[in-house]
Amino acid sequence: MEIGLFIPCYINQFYPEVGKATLQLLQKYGNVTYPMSQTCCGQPMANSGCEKDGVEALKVFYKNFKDFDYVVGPSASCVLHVREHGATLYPEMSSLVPKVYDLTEFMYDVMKDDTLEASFGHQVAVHKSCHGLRGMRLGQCSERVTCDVSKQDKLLEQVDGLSLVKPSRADECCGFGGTFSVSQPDVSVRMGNDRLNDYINAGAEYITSGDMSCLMHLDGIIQRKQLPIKVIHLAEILASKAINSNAKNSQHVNAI
Amino acid sequence: MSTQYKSHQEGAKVFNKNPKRVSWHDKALWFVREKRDTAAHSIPEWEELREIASQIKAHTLSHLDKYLLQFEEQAKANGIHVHWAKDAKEHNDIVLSILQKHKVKNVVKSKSMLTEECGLNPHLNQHDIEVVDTDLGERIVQLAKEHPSHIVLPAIHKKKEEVGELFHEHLNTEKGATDPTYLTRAARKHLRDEFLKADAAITGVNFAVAESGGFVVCTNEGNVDMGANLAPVHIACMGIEKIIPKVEHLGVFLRLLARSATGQAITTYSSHFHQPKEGKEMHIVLVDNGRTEQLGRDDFRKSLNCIRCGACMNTCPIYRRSGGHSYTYTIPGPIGSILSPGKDLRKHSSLPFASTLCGSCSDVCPVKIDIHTQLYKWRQIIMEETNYDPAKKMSMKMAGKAMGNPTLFKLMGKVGNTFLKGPRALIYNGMNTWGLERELPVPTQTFDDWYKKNKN
Amino acid sequence: MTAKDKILGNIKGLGLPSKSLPLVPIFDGLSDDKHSFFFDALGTLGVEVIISDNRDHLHQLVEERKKEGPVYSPIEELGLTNTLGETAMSDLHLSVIEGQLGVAENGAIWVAGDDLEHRALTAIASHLIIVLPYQKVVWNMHEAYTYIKPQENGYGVFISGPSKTADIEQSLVKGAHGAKSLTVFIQK
Repeated sequence: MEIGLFIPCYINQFYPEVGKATLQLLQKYGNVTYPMSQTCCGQPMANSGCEKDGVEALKVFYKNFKDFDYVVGPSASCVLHVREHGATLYPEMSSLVPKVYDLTEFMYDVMKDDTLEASFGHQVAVHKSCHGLRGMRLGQCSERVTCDVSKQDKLLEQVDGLSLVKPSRADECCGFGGTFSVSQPDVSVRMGNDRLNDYINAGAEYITSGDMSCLMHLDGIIQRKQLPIKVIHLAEILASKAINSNAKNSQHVNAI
Repeated sequence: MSTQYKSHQEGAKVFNKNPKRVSWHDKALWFVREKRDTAAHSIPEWEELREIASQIKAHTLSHLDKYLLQFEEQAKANGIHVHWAKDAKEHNDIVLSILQKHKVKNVVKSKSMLTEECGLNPHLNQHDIEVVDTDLGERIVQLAKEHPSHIVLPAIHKKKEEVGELFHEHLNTEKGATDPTYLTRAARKHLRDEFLKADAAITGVNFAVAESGGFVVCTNEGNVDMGANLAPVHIACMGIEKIIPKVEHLGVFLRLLARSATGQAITTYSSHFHQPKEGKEMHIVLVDNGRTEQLGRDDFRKSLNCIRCGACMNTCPIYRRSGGHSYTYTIPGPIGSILSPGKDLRKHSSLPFASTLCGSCSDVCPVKIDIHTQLYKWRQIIMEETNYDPAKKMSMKMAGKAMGNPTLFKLMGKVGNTFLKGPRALIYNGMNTWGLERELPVPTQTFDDWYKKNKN
Repeated sequence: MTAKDKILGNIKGLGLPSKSLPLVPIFDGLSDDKHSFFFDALGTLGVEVIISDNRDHLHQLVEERKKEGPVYSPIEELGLTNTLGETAMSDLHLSVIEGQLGVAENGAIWVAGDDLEHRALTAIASHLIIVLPYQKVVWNMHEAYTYIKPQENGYGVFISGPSKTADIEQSLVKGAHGAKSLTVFIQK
């Protein structure tokens, strides 16, 4: 099985550990290749109302990934953009779109992996990113009267030593929202603070998510306010046995 | 009148200057959202009901002309006068002329977002007709010379101390009194006098039934029943999208409406009007005011499904933290943000951006309006057709070009990283809204660099 | 061109493709016992429920309440059907009216307004008693609409509990405009 590793641009720039963990996890399932000339999925343009400006990015995406059996990335948000808008904006992509998966979906739905070997002895709260939750239905949405499986919880339940912590609001948005975070900093930061307080009050040591962008926003506040909680991408926890545990938090250098 | 902000950002910024108030507002509405969840989860067929409701609306909209005609015919046969208004002005003129014909001086009005949309009150005031809003929340904002900040909970932004102050000033309640029961009793007494002296009652319409030629209005307070049943003239104003085909469909919508709105199983009064009482008059004004235009927009037609439950407001994390008055349209929150651009794209261009596209609005919507998808689509139209946020437009164009060119893109990434490693004062300044209250991530080695070194 | 022509013309001009009308099932009840579900729902709504197989209890109840203030009822056997002017109605302490159908899922009771001498009786008195036959309880709103015919009443209303508001800081207050209390007399 040929798997193309899709590393979103900001993860490449700022969170190489997430890329490494994802690569590590995927290698269990097949031959993983990381096309070096990938750029971005074009989501920032699209959500800003300039979706046509993101077509060039999609073309690059297509060129890089068209020949793989599966394309997997550690970001529900970016994958969702490709899935929802890729074929409309760049019709060539329609054959590729069904092969593009978020890491959680790929591990849970496609590989049905129930033999994870990972250990992470901490209290962890899962931040259900909106695009993963309501866009991809990776879990039970609190609004809906359905019986959906919370796939990330199921994966994390396989991790030794990890205990899941439930916040009082199961799946409220963190306030990142792409350019929303800079066009409406007041509300965005306020939302982030509220989520953080909820996770801290629930006793979480770590907040994890399938979307690093939410975590980047939350971590921005954590670092500024020196809050007693850390963020970690889901992939890093699931690969926690395989990678050097000391390297895990190398990105959380205090910037002040 | 309350301040009219030019953009949602502006209003939200002002609202957030008082963090305690933001917490209070957020909690009050989250409480309603939780009640809604409990109510929805008590109905096993909830999702099926939403789907049926959505399909009934889609069907009705696809035959709207037929159902409007059927409704008119039936209503007339029932003895109701039916009027048609293509816009807000015609609506206001029709209502005024009915009132003038009956020499009406005092009108009691129950909640109607349509009359807010049309600006009916000021129009009638200009012609020496006094209009008293009888929904308690609406009366509060009316006395405060403000607009409703929520379509179901019009005074949700007001603290009881503020209501106490207003009532002291207007209704002679004791100075400093803040007890909700005491204040509500005072309003009851005051409004009872208004009901008894009113020459006409104006109400909104929740559902109008084509097959029976009648309409249903839902309240908890009973103000519709007081107003419409006491006054000699009852005028009901409705948007043309409020039509449903059959009486049996009321079962679907009444099961969904109150549960979605406040978490109640049903409103206290669900009042069905089909005929005026002998010697009295009943009028219905069918209003277009942009609705047929919206009907013609494939991507936005579904917004006409709306039954005005307000669930999307209660769940919206931005609405809860920016307040209804930060929106530039009569109907605030997510639904207002997809209805308003169709009315005035430039005036309301900030509204579709007042969202993280989290999608919670679409999931609570009892008639399955794809609200967050429509927000996304309005964004595309706004950036293409208006001059909204030209700096963003330019930067997106440039970034988009770079993303089509891997070599350039990687170079820009390197430059950016170098910049972020630079002096703090250069990074954290007023230009960087991210950095006002957040740190930027600290670049280490890129994944590209690591992969190049380690791929074998 | 009239507004009507313009609106209908606009809609016709769109030539929208027809969407089909779904069938509405009558969904199952939410438990085995609709009566106890109904009474629980009324309890949650703050309604006093009196269940009796003796009509005299109703007469006694009304006699008691007469001591508190003016009472009116269009129910002939109660002997209170003297004509009331609408101004006098505003001073009513209690009105006693008949309900046609109770809905278990939400505690709503259908009142056919034209059975009343004055439509305002559903809301104007300070307190309200609704008399409902025990067997007239259905599960849900779908079932309810197969029995009631709103179009045969100029005015009809589902009433579920005393009038209420939560418009001041979300604090629930009973008796906004309509009845401050509701008693449902279930006649077995």
